[in-house]
Amino acid sequence: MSKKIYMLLPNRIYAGDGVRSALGQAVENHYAYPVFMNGELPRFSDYLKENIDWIRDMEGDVLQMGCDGAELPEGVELTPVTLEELGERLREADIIIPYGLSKQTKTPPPACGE
Amino acid sequence: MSADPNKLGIFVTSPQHMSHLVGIAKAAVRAGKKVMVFFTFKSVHLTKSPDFVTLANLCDIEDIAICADSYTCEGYDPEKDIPQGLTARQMRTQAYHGAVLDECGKYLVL
Amino acid sequence: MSDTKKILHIYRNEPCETVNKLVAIINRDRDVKEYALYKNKPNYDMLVQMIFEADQTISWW
Repeated sequence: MSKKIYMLLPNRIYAGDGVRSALGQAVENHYAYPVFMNGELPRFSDYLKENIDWIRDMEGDVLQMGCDGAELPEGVELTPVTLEELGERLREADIIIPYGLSKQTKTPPPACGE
Repeated sequence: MSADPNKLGIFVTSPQHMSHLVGIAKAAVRAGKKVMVFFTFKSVHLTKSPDFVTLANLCDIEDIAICADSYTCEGYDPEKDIPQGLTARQMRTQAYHGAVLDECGKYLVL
Repeated sequence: MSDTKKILHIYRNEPCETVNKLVAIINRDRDVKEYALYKNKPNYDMLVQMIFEADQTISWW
């Protein structure tokens, strides 16, 4: 049975991989919803952009909470949600995955690379 | 395939909770439950912990796996450096997480 | 027998404000239990029992 899976991503070091992991479940016929939280966005490589498109093609969606559209690179569209909307969506989720680590106090420096 | 109500799936996404992971797995086995574990992204570093073999011994051989791509991305060699406690067959893809969701009646993220 | 969904929240660390707000929404009209892994020495036997009694477990960072 297909499940609604929410992958919660408040840490930008883990955010890109969370999308990859969510896509893995979309491929397994689940509905995958990765959520970039607290305005924490990863670097949008071509690989990540493709993964986002694939998730949408497979009836999932990629959400963001806490950043305005101006922060997104050209060609990247994320569905905005408020905290309250996310909470309501999570009530309907079969699986909720707080992924990786929580939000960092400091922004990762360029030394973190991709 | 329907999920086994007596099987606990654990999706390991954080590299920080090895003691909780082993503690929960031991308690589940004590309670007569089965445990199925998948490690992804930076949690694959936990395979280098001495406790990893302890964990592997608590699971059936098919019931513990790591994401081979994550292992490679973190700099390890997925062919020459298979973690102790795993076989080459348990170097898997994210599809294994799908199997955890399908097979396990209970599910936990660490 | 109650058909209210039984939710177990596990906190690996002290929950932040965002987590507390999400949990409050999720918990509405639900049968809720919580377990703080970061406090004291965990009782894993009790935790496993709670996981198997719950319909859904959410393990927050």
